[in-house]
Amino acid sequence: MAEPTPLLQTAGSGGTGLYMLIGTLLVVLVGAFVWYLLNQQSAAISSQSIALASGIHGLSSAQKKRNNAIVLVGPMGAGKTALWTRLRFPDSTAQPETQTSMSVNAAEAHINESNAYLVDIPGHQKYRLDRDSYLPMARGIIFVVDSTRLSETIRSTAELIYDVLANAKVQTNETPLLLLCNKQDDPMALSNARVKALLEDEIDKLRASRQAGLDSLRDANVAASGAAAGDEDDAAADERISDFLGYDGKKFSFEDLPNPIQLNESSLVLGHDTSGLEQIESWIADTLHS
Amino acid sequence: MLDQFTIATKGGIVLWTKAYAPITHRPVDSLVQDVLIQSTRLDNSSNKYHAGTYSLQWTFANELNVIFIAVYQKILQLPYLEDLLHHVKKHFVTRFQQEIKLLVDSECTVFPDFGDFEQEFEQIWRAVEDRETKERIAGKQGGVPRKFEDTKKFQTTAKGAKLELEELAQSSEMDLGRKTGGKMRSWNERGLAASDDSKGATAASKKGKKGKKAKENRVWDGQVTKESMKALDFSSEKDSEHEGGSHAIASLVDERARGERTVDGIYEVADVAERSVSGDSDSFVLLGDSALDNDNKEDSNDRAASGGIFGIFKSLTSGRVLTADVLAEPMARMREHLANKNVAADVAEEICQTVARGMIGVRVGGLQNIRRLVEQSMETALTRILTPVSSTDIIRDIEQAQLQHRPYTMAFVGVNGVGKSTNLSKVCYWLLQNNKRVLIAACDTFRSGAVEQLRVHVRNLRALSESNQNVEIFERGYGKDSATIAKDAIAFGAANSFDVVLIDTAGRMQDNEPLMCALAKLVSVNSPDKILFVGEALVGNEAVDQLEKFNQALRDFSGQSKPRHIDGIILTKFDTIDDRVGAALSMTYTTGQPIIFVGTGQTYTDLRKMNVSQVIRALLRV
Repeated sequence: MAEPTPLLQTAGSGGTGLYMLIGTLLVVLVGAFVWYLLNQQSAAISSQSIALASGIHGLSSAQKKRNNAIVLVGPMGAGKTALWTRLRFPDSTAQPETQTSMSVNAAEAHINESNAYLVDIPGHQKYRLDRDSYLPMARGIIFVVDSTRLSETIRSTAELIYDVLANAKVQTNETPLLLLCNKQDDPMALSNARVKALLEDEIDKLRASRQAGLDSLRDANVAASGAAAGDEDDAAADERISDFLGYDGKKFSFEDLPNPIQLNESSLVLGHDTSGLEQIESWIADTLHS
Repeated sequence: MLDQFTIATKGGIVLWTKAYAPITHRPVDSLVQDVLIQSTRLDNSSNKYHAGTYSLQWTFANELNVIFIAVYQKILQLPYLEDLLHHVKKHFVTRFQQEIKLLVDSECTVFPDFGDFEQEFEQIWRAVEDRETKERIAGKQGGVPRKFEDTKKFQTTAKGAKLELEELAQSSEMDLGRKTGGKMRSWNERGLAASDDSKGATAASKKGKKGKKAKENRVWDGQVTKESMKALDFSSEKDSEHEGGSHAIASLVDERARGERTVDGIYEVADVAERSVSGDSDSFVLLGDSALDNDNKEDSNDRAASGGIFGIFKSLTSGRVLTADVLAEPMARMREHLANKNVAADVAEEICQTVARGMIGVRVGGLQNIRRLVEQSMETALTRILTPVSSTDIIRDIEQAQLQHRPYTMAFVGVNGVGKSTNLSKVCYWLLQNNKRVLIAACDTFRSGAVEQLRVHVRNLRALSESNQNVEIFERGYGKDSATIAKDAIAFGAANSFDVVLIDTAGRMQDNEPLMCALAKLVSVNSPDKILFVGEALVGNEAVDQLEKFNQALRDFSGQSKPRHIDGIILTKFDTIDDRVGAALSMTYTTGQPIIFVGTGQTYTDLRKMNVSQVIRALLRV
């Protein structure tokens, strides 16, 4: 009598064992799913709040996949943030004043029925690395220049535009560049042609002095950590090789570059003609569609 | 009182501003450029900045990316400003939180209106001002004036001194237990009374002054008095002395710092005590926004109160706000890591504080790794510090000077033995490779062999370059004034169309005032285009001291209204350090000037340009 009952019991427990197995699997799956969701959400919260706060700036993978980024660069006080707010809030009658930026402004904007992710990078030299992190994924670059102060700041402005154009990704992607001569409302403002000529002269001189520069610090001096360091080193070496813009022996000209470069005049002061703004918007729309 | 109050986003969009007087020269822009971006060390620790005729104070609301700036005349002192900033921030943030968030929302196409804030601002300002005046009045007339007995003057009068003596006598009686008689005190007594020595001595001297001096027997040389014999008798064993003895001996050893005895009976010294972290977290609380911290503490208390597991789940989904105590531990570890990499102690401290201040109040997801975030923000902060602000393109500068038909002058300064002459010749080699004509001015007239050393370098460089005419040395021997030699050298260079003049100075310690004076004179007489401070990469905390004192000396002893300061840094002996590149960070942080050259060896080609990303990687690598 004792024997059948144990058999029954084992048969019964076999069935429940199967259920238990399925049960635990389900629990594990659900747990993993919840964990994944929580992770995504926490990452989203962090990146949102970190994007809001300044100082911490690692581009998340989601941001890197964007293909509609328009990057606004240029020297300090050129009017990048003003342009950014004009494009961002086109329906406002009262546009806000702007001051020196100390963090990146990045947001989506509707421009001529297309969505552009506008990125306004502060002009201060300290944000060079932010600029270098955004340039590779840019679909178009707007280089804003203060036409009234260009002659005094020609060296730093030329260095800036050189850095932008010599960026490896900008060269390989042949990113279109819009050179915006801003502050045309001022009578002292230089015209398009004058700005182009000044910049080309200065870049010409810069080419030569850059080639004459010293080699950068190699990883060999700092304790190397293996292949990763070597790869970075090669990338840096490649960057140096492609640092030279235009053709050797021929005076630099913007037409020598593979990137389509356009020059526009603009004045972003309310009340003055806004035709500049419309041209900018159409350029952005064209760039995003091409 | 206030000239302007501005509320703006960190991205540069002005949300609300009110000007009470016309503002000139845009002080807010200079504040942002000089202080907030470059994070140069402020002379005083307060959040105050001077620009032209204005003073500025500011505060941040980190979680919403907003900065509040108050501008007022420099001559005024407004003690209520910090209060005002704090309250305005609280009110603005609570009222316009939604509108601020709309700024990053792509659906919004109209700029939100913040004009309603004006009325509220006026109210807050009036309230803060009233409260401050009330406190000031209350403070002046506050309560009853002090009693005469409580003032210092009373203590110098006879009555006051007597009272003090009585007090002292009471306290010392308990310790000593007996009178201190005789001229010489025994060793035990001295040991006992060591702690009360000052009190006892003053009490005794005062007693002596007050009371009549008893007639004492004259002690001749060679004679020994009975009292002194007793005092010199160390053989006797008295009960009270025994206690006193052990008391004295016990004071020689600090029980807490005792080491351990190992199993073998060997006594091992205790380890150096670790710096306590609690003190630092206190300073964080002081630095960070106290109101926000209070709010956060309330939030976390609420959360904790709402049930253990449920609370955890809530924090997981909605994230938590970073506070000072959460950040204290990772920050302390980061500071230690930086110190291990040879970053100067105060520089590491300040950088960690700045980074922590920027992170307080930020909301992060529940599963986010705080340490990862700290590392990322640290990387950004360090990169920003090390990235040069001004151009480091020397060749371009030289061409600019050529257009003005004058030679480009560079002065090499530094303490003894860092490698000025060696790196000067490396720079000279590089310039020769770029077809510049270089004149080396031997202004080290102190150290024996300095001029000969440069002569040898010039000989080598001539052999290495194609034309012999491109490099020359200008020297006037030893013992002469270096400022005049430099002046003659520059005149010679201009007359003979040299492109660059490199001035080699004598090494000098930063504390040596006459030598620093002489250096400041050389700089002010000749005003070189670039003053390069040569520092070795091996230096640690000394780097900060050297640079500060050099800059200060150039400022104080120059006698000019706009004194020069160090324009660039040459980091030498870089091949001797492996990973410990902290000196680069300390030096750049202290001066704000870029590292122009890096010396990596002793041959002429061992000169490199600074690579910021590489140094950052080496710094943050474990």
